[in-house]
Amino acid sequence: MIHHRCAAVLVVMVVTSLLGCGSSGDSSPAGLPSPSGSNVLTITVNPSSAAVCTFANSPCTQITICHPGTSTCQTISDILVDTGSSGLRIFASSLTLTLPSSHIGECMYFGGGTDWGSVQTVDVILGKEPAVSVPIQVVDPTFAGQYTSTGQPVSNICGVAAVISDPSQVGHNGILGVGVFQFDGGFYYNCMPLPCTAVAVSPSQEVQNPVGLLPVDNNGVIVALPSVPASGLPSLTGSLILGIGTASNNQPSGVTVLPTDSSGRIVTHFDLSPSTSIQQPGIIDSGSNVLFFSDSSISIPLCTGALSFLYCPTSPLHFSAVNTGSSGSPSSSVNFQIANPMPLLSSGQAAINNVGGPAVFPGTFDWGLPFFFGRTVYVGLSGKTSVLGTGPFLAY
Amino acid sequence: MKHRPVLEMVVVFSLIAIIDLPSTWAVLGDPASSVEADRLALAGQIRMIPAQRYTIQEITTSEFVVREYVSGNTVFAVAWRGRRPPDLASLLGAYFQEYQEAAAAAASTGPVRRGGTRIQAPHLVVETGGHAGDVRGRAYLPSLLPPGVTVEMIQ
Repeated sequence: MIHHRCAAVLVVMVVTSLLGCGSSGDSSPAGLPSPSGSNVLTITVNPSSAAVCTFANSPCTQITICHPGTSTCQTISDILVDTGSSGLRIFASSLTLTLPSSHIGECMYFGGGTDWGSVQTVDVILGKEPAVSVPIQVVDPTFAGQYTSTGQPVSNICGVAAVISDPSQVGHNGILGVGVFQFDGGFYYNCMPLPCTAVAVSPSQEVQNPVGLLPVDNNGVIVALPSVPASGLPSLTGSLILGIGTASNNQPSGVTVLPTDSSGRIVTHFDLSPSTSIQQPGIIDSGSNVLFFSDSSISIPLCTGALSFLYCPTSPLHFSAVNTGSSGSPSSSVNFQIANPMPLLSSGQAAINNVGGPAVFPGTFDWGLPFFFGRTVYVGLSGKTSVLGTGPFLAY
Repeated sequence: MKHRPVLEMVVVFSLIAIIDLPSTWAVLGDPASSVEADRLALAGQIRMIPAQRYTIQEITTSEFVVREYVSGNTVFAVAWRGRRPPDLASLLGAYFQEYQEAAAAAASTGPVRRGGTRIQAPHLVVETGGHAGDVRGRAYLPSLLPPGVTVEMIQ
């Protein structure tokens, strides 16, 4: 059954976008020795069970949300694990749970799209941790009549061409933002009465990283994914571990800690050629499914057609870059490859470690999911202290 | 960070006005004098930056920075960066509708991607990117780009 679904998607979409759909559940996913514990969430890329999270290099997990203060709950799968944002967002269309009404709306801007929807406080359960009460965004273009169900502007409170409208457009039912900041930095509106007007909300009302509210494992997260060969994998399994050095299963060793700036950025020195190096802000973002970086001097060929947002070199290219903390130290070198992803995508591989593309608007080196393969990445929450120091930091 | 054109700040206005949003802003294709309307609309600070082939009028607010590129007394491009984009319906004016239509057509053929979007409309190009907390973009009228001005200069 999965195979049929994927075959259909492959024909229509895989070659037309960076999407994958694993060949089927017939090969066992690669995996690290699976950590266990109440603070562990399983991350999967293209599991056979996925209904929505089938895009290539899209790491998903499941979470549970409950009507506040009750045991009326819903477990939602296909939630993107995102180290590049903060807070939980779930599409209204993926909810069967009835939540209290809300008149607070939020515009949340990402590099590639915008979420509009209401803000609701719910109980969130991560792994087997205690429930935490936290504001989340319920993504709904039609909230307060701002957009059509397809995301086209009506009143257009967010001021953009369109907002994200449904899970199939982005390949997930929601986003679990576990970045270095507690708060999401979104823009809030009071929509009762209409028209919606900008409103300042108190920190406790802001959409925020539920990890920071946990009783113990609250100082950050660890994303641990297995390595992926150059030939790719149809699927894989890894872990999102809550807390850093707070339990027996999250003790770091031998990592380089890179403090970030107030925008969550490190610094990346990228060697375009042996004689030149440019320095630019870098982000380590599990929600980006490829390595996005600008290529102003060496002109890697782009793929064609609907994959023209990806690099398609004629033979694999080997690069190195150096990441440093935002103030210039410490430093850590990273080697990576960029290859033509089209053969892997068309053969159904969904975990690909050598795929990249140009940043549409250059200026930031975006270490997307390929960076995470074969690494254990530590995300230190701002203001929280662990054995690795006080956040915000990224470490690996 | 990409190289920016060599810029020199010449004039700094430190006016801060807080007024209601006018219904129209300076937009692509409008006269340079309309930039002041944008500054008022955005309640921001403005400075003028002469470059070799054009002038940049930069408006700074607490949420974003907008740069309007002027040549021959016409705004031929705008760029922005910040925690959020400016209201593009206002900034692009009459061009917003074709941008929206082209974006809707593009959305119907592929998924939303973190790497950003490049929308080619009949008369303008709009590129967006960046990441949560630092979004960036630019819009320009290819037919009005002065000779010798490249898209990379607009940021």
